[in-house]
Amino acid sequence: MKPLKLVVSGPVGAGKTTFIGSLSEIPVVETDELVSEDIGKERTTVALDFGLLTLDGVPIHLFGTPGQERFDFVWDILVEGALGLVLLVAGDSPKDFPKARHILEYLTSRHPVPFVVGVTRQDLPRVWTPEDVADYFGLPHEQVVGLNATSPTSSTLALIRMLELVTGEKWQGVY
Amino acid sequence: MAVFGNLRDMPLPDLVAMLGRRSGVLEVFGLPGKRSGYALALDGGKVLWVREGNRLLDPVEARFTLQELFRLQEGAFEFTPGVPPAEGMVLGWPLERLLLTLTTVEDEFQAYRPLLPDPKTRFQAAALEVWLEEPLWSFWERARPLLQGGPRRKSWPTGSGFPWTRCATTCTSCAWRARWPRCGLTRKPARTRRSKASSAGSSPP
Repeated sequence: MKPLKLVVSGPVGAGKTTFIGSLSEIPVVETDELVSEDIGKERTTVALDFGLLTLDGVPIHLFGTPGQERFDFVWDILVEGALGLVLLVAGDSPKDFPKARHILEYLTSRHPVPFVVGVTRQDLPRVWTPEDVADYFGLPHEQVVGLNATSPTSSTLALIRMLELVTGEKWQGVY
Repeated sequence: MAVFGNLRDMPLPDLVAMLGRRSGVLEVFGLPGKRSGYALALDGGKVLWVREGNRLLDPVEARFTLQELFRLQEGAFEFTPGVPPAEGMVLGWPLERLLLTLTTVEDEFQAYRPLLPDPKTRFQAAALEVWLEEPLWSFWERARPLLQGGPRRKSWPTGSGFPWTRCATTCTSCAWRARWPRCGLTRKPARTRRSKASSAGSSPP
């Protein structure tokens, strides 16, 4: 069966690498390097992350993009041929919402693919809910899901929501 | 769970548009140059009341405050959903219409900004018994005691609920639309200070 290509994108620190790490059945191929400017963490993705998982017999290739805009030339390359997009945004960092909106508009205008917005950090006490983020983006509530990127279960549920949007059908598979 | 952030990343117009028909209290605080914050009570997409610190604002003050908040580019906000407590007179302003009005006024203000007079310009009421249509009448009733004395920006009373820039804009706007006679206002240009040399009669080299 031909693997599905899904892209995970979003601003710096949204949890893209963590999300792929939670889902992947193989060691994630990371391209992390030490940061050259203050972005709130020590290392950041400079090219891509790659992970692989199988869901109900369907192989899924996960490609994570770098979050910094200086690497936006990589976004186009990675989204090429993707069947769907997961845009992650940290729910406790509303200052990144405009950047997330810019990334979403940039990618979907050049590559119209189904997408779902994942609001991470839902385990924190003070965080935007998926419904509030949906209102901010002007999206239907069913297109925005909350998740904890460190939790495989939570990440998988978000992935399933993405697949439902791609296939247009309710996911019947067993996880 | 609450909606929170900074006006720097999410200006009030965007925030208000996002809140739509929600009910709750929107608090805006940490504003540069302001000691106290503001609270707006929203119910089903309508503004019920506006508070500055612990003080409930009257409609005119609330209107000006919202216009000021509309322009802010720095300050924290937090929206707490729920049924807001009833306080004083209910304003009942629809949020969407308010947004449209504030945007229009802001556009107008930006257009008149180059025409705003020198801060030393005085606007003084030349006639006190006038008849004006709303909303000018409400403005006139409120501003008359202040305009009788012909204050300048420097002596404009603080805490009047009437920011100087807003009053000057309204007065300038009236002038632009040739409503001076109806407003009963005269505009006295700023007096320039004569240099000590010229006042002493000495001629320039």
